[in-house]
Amino acid sequence: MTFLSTTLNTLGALFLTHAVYSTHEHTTTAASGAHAPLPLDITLELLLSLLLLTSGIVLSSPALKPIHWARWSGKIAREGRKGEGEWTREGEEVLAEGDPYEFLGLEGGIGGKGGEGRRGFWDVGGKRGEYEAWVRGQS
Amino acid sequence: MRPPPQHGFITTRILLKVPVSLTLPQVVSNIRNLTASLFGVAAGTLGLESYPGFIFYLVGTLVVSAMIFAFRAEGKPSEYFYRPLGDLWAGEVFGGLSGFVLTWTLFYGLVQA
Repeated sequence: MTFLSTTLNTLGALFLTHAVYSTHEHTTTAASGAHAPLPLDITLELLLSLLLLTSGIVLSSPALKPIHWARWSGKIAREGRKGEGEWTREGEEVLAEGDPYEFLGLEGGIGGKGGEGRRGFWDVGGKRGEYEAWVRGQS
Repeated sequence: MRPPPQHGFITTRILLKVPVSLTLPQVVSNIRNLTASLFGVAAGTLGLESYPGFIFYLVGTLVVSAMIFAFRAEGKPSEYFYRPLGDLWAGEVFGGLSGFVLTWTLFYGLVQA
């Protein structure tokens, strides 16, 4: 998706630049003065570039999130944890920049045994799944 | 280990770090502002004047809304917008108008005049 939107944006910007330059040349060199009607090919190129650029911008925008928490949580459960943000190795999404619990001084871990990495949202459903898998592995 | 700061500091620090990425209207607003400037470039280059320019802008925003509807909301706007009509189809339409007029006049002056 990123590749597609970048391609669309680049192509659109090229066409737009070319169309604007062509219009400028047309208005400065047209025999019938500055307000001669624009040739059809320039108009079409302009509208095409606009279409490419707008679709590129829409496609490169971040994905929308469902407004109901239950739907959002269901989406996470169905499609797995793939937020665009970072995830700690405890399975929590990092919602804020920096560690809000930095003041606890646990970054180095308790007794130097590796940090907790506990930062934000805790995926309860995912944790339960891990626990069930662990219980089945025990028996 | 650094000494623990005061309680008030801790709460403000946590409260202020609300994730910005969760606020949905910003996505639509960003798209609207970017595309409005582009529509202004096109309207000025086409040499549109007066009402046809504003009609061009309204048609353009409608196309952008349709694109958000199709690509971002996956055809189910009620799942992503509290009021689909007001937030998706008519949301932020006048927010991008100033950017549109800015680039419209600029490119009209550069290219057509």
